[in-house]
Amino acid sequence: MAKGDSRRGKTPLLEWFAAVTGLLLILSVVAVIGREAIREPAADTPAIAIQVGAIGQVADGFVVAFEALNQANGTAVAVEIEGTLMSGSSLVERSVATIDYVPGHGRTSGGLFFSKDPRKNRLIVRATGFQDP
Amino acid sequence: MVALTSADRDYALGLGRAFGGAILFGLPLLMTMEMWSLGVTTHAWRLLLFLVLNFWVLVVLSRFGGFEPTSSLNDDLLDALAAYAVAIAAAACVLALFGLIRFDTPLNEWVGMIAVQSVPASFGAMLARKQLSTGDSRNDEDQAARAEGYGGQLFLMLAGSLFLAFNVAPTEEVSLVGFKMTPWHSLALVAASLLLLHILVFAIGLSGQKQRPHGYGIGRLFLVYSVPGYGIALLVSLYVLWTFGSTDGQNLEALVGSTVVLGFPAAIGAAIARLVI
Repeated sequence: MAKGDSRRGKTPLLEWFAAVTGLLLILSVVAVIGREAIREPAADTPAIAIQVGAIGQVADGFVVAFEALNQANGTAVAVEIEGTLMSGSSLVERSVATIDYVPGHGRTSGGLFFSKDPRKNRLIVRATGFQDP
Repeated sequence: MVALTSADRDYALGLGRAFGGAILFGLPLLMTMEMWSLGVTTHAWRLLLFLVLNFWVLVVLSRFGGFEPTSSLNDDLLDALAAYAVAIAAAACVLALFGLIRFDTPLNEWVGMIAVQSVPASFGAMLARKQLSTGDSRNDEDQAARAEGYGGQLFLMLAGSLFLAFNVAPTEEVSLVGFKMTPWHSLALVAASLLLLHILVFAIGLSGQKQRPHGYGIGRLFLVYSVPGYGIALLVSLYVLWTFGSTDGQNLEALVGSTVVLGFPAAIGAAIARLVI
């Protein structure tokens, strides 16, 4: 095999470069996961906090943007978000959204529709439940 | 040989094969629900960047295993364009047959749908010659010899991992599997991916070579092929996840977790690239 001869001898620079880059990538992946493995032994219960964003007007009502922040490292799937408009102690309107999942220490955003103006009532948005992945 | 007079006929035959290849490689994703909306939900600039990069992968791929033997960059460009054209036509036909594209479908929806589907289909169109043709082993050896250089080998690994990662990435399961796994599972998956990649590279051998290069022991083969191969698989996985927006809102650990999950099929794609291409 004549072509094989050219490969003998010194290792080409590209091979060094590729091997070192690959090794660095793998080591950093192992480092990140390994640190997590040692530090956080088990996933805790997800803790979902809701941050209400901009309130906008749509065709026949209003939309309230929200962001669900997971403050624990356990992931929540099928998260139910409930928004209520209260006037004094009486319920004006209720709206519900379902979010596919909020990863541990991650965030997912969505929106709730209302027919009454949320700015003129007391708005409460909270997560009412989730499913374990 | 009556090559001159039958050149056009041969090319038409090649296009026909490419169409078949596009459907063969594209069908699993044409029938994946998530893919139908990705054209609209994917960040427009990321999708555009992905389509451009895919085009360049096709250009290089054309040299190594395209649907007709090529010898110049111009030829490769033309073939990559032809592969894209065939892929878009094939994807449009199948999506229309499935009733997913109708006359009243909004422009951005059907264009986006076809754009994402054209990626796997274009791979199929490009590789159809190798997969669906019966012979012409002289040209096969020719192309294999071109892919023999180290850079060529790394490129084949990249193309293979891109194809397999892309086939899995659109599904919800990638993040879901990531959530199910503990960090220890992830570490085991890293080891398993690397080991499997190495076994496949070692068992299948390298493109155009019946045995490993002279003076390459199993350790050096591991460092020079398997380690960069897995590195490529991880980078490709991360890039594909980013393109589909799966990296948004994730913290570092979750990001690395889903990269490792997608890195598993990507690593296998990198290892078997030489069988397919």
